[in-house]
Amino acid sequence: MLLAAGVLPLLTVFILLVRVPTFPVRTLFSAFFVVLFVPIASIAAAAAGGLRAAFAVSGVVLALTLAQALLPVRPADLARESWEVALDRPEIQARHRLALDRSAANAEVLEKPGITLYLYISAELPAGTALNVFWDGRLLGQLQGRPQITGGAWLWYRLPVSWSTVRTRTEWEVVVAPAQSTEGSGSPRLGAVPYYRSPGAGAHASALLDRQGQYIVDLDPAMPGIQQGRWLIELRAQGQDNQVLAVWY
Amino acid sequence: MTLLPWSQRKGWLVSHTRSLYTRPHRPSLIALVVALWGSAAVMDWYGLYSVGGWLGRVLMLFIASYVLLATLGGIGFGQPVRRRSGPLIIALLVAIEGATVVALRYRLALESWLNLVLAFFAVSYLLVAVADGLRHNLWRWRRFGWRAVAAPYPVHRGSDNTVRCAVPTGSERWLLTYLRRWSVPGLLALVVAVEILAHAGHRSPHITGLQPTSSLQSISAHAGGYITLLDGVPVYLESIFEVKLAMAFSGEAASGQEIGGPNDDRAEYPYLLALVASVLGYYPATLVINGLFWWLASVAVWSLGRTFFGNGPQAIAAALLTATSQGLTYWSATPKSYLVGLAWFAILLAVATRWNIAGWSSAGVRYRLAFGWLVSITSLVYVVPQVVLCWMGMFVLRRSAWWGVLAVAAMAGALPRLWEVIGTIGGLPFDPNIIRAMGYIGARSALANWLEFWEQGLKLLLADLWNYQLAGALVGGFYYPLLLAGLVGVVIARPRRQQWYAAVLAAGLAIGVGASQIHSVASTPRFIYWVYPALYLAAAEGVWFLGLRVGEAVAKQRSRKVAGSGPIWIARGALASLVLFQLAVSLADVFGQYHFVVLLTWAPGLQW
Repeated sequence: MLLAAGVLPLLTVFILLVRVPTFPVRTLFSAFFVVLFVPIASIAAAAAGGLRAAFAVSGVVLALTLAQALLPVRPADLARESWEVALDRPEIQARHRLALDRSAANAEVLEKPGITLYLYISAELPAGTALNVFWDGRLLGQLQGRPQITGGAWLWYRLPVSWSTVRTRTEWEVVVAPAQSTEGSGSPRLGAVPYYRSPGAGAHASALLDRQGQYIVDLDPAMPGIQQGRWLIELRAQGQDNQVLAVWY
Repeated sequence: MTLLPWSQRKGWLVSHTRSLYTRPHRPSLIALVVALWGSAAVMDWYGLYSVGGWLGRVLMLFIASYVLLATLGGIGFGQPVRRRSGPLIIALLVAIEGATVVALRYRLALESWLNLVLAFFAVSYLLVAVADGLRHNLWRWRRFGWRAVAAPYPVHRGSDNTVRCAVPTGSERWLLTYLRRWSVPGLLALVVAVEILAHAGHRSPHITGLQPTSSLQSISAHAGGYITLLDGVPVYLESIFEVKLAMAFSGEAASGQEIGGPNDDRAEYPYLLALVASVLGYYPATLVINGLFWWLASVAVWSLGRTFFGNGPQAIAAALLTATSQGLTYWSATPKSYLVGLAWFAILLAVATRWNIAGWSSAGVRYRLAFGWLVSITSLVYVVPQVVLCWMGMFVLRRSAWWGVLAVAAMAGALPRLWEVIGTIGGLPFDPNIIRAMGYIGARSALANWLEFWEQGLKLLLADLWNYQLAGALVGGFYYPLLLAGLVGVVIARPRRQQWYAAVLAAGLAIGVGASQIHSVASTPRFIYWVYPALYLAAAEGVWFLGLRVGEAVAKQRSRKVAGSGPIWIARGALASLVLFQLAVSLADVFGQYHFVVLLTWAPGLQW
């Protein structure tokens, strides 16, 4: 056990030096520190359960360290947590396809009396700028001034959506575009997050297009997997006291 | 290391010596407490609190120190009064306070830790003083009104008046012995595996609880929740810091500017993540590490239960409650160190028991130092050392040498600072803008608030406890049946267990109060979930007690002998019902019922 505990840090240093020749010495130092303490402590804790438990923990940690040495590095596929995109040219549009499946749960929500439907859009609008919001090609409204919701991590604007608009179809296209030229007054910005199609939610991610309908791919070079992202555009059914009954995107 | 034999771990089982619970309160302590609250109320009434300024604060600090001295000297649990330790404790408090003032003055990095220690110790002793008064009176009441609970298994009374459960020592075949030994850990592993697999991926309560469709409240969160994607799987957004540090430990991230983040101080979890991810990948590694520590926490609670109750069903029930715990379920599929930190707390409590850190017979130097090392390591996980130190201050200090606790505190405080220095050299950012600012602002406000507690007395403390919605957090974390069962268990427990329960509960709640000074969502049950080992053990004990009482009543109703096995079976049934209820609660979200997940996310009464 003590041998294993003593060998571990040296083994890890050796592994990192051999495996990753460019590994920075400073980070190596940090790793060495953690390795020095954590496994040995784990082994000591296991000693409370007896020597065999301590040996088992030693063996597992040693095996994993060896595996770290022998197996290829598995890169972590980590999406960016959030980002913003400036609608800094009037010809740029943010397009999103909203979807609402006709599940029993959704039908139940939509049949509740007194619900209000809102289209929520997260944006930051400098003074003097505005965004036009089109619902299936028709102007739904304009975002400007101060956001309606300021609590939490995002600033939200919202526009009411009539019930009759939603009743007949299950998919709609929402387009957001600068209302006027933004030169000299700052650019409107839309918030975006990684997209994961959770059950019950909508089916489509967002796209950023120019006026000719061409997909713009170079807005955020740091986020090559932009298809994983979606603009923060959501349709919400709210009851009395602003209680959120359902959200679709 | 050699472990002390079970025979030396006295006082935990169903029996106890008379001296453990017959020592009454010291009148001087009660007088001091009354004097403290009285003087505080008078000062508050006449506005001396605001007029007196620092003079009043210093006065209150001295009075508080004296109360601590009296408390430490023996609050009435039959412990010898450690008069010699009094001046040392006062000196320690003054030193901590002095160092804190200096640290605040020069904005040193020490202030956060020092203030937390001071704050936790202060509130711990307040809580334990109140709890002890209740306990003493309840115990006296029970001695006249209630009967002692019968031990369900044969016991032997030793020559030292200590009773131990009979341990089967037959010559069973090795396979049978092996199966018996591993049956409970195996069952726990199975339950944990089912729970963690049922909540993996997009079903993680940490994600669904943050979706407005689940919480039905938030209009500021977005539909996908507060997420990022790891290996294509949605995970809690702030997991990004741990994953980045893990990438650094695996050699994947080479640039010092790209690694780490505000949680660089919690380096143990990323290290483990990197270790397992080399074999399984990052997200599966998350599930494996969390599942492993969850299982260890269950085994630790089982071990504690076996120490407390012998080899009875209460221990297994408490372990199963841990394996189906709402909170551990909530954080199980998240690459954050919350679950591992909570698990470490139960593990440390079990290790402290097995190593006699808080035993009647003192553990040796090696055990204390080893325990200090373990506690210090957990400072690289989460705020575990603060909870452990708080618990030690209440439970260990009075039955153990003060230098042992001090050594643990010193080691626990030194390692994170050392890590910060080394990590900074190693290129980790430690995000000073966040950590330092939080530490400084938090420490300053914490200090001011704790001093206010002392100055204005119990009234303010109780009001703040209520305002901080600890009750809501407890309901969100454990829900009513568990809380009621735990309350019964604490009330009917034998003195030493009762004191242990009180210490763990007070330590966990103190963290919640302390965290409320520096965190905007302090009422979420995450900050008080540390109480779970005590609550689950107490709940098992309480339900067992109630089951036996009901069984006896039923037997009497039927004019049968009370001594039959009927009450035992009813008690077992009650325990099984409690476990099944907890299982149903923990799995409710998988079937679309988010009520309990919402309670864990938004504690009742929480206001942003």
